[in-house]
Amino acid sequence: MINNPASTSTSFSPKLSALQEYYHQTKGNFHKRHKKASDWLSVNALDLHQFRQTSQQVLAAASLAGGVALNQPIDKLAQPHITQLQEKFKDAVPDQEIVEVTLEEWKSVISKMQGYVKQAPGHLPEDEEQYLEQQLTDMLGFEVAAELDGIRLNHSYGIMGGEQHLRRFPTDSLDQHDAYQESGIAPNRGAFGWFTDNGVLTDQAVEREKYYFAVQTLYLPTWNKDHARLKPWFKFRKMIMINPAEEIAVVGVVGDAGPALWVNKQYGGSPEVIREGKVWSRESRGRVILLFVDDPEDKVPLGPIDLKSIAPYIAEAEALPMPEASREEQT
Amino acid sequence: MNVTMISTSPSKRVFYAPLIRWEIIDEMVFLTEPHEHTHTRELILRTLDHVVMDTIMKHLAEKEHELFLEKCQAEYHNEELLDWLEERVTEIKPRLQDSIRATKVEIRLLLQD
Repeated sequence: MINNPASTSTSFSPKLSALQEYYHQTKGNFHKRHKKASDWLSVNALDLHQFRQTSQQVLAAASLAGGVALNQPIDKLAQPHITQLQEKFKDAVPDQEIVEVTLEEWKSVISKMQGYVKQAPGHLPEDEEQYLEQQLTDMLGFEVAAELDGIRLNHSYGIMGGEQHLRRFPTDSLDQHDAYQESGIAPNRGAFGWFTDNGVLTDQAVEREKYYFAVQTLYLPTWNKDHARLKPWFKFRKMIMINPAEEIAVVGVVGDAGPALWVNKQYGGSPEVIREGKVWSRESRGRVILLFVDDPEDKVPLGPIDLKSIAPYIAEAEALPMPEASREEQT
Repeated sequence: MNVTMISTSPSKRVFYAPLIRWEIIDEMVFLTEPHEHTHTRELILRTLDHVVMDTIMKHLAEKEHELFLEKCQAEYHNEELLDWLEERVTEIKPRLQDSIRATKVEIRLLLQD
């Protein structure tokens, strides 16, 4: 963390020095133009940026005192998805929730996905894509889509290759990664920058590197003219990889660009994604579906989902008596 | 390493957050070297803090300056401060957006090669 970035330092690059000078000018102008406000700040021994810092402290205190979930512990993030999914179906009691997908539909969707990934990499026909998006959204309990905000990858299904670990911050090294060290670590940072948040290796940053995808942003038809908008949009964009052959999915984020065209693979996956998603099992051979997760509130945790274990809960929920309201709707 | 998960970037906890396109700030930060990103972001935010306050003070009646500063001191993160301002200053949001936009253009020029 920085203490005082506005203080004079000779180690700054010309760009940063120019920015620092600009900041001091802006600050000076403010104090010249608004004498009363300046005096008030002076009397209260405050600088404007301290409002922001104080506010963060207030929010943190409120979080501790009132249980406001500003800072979620990593344990919560690391909760297996399956718990959420199990709860979703287990709690489908008559007066609360209706099962949105039948067991038969579930089996049918899995079977269709197994067929899709055997085709040449690409997109599904529009009607099939919409059907799949809807079914997966209902089953998983969060929105998935091949296209989000008008943006889509060049392939919704294809082959995923294994990537190395990525450096999360400039001095990161392989021995600081807690799993799959045999995969090695890429010498350069990922295409979307360091994983740290304002210089801090947060638990969120650790999770993001664990479950990252590499996607071929460079080959998007609009990349060259629109990369200024697309790059930040893709940075850590949440996606879900579905391995239909193994009935496993992994939620992760876009953390790197690639692989190159000549590799003949459409996606890359972190060591965790590849291992835990069984992407290169005998049955899978890298064939996966990759879709966006529409999660503006960042509620969907990263990590693997065992799709096989959802089925029993769908069956159990199906067996429950139909809610009164639903019976009325159906008659 | 002792770490805490930050679900929302602390830098976004300012009352004028809805007026900022944060991806543009990220883009500008990327114009500097990786080891300078934290400093760059903080300097941009501090500059915006001053530009936003400058614009508000220009248009808000002077008798209310102190009250507004007190509100900022208490809850700078509260987006309702924008509503409070809107009741007192005509078109304060577009005015703030204009100031922020102009500042970002100038900063981008400084940081571009």
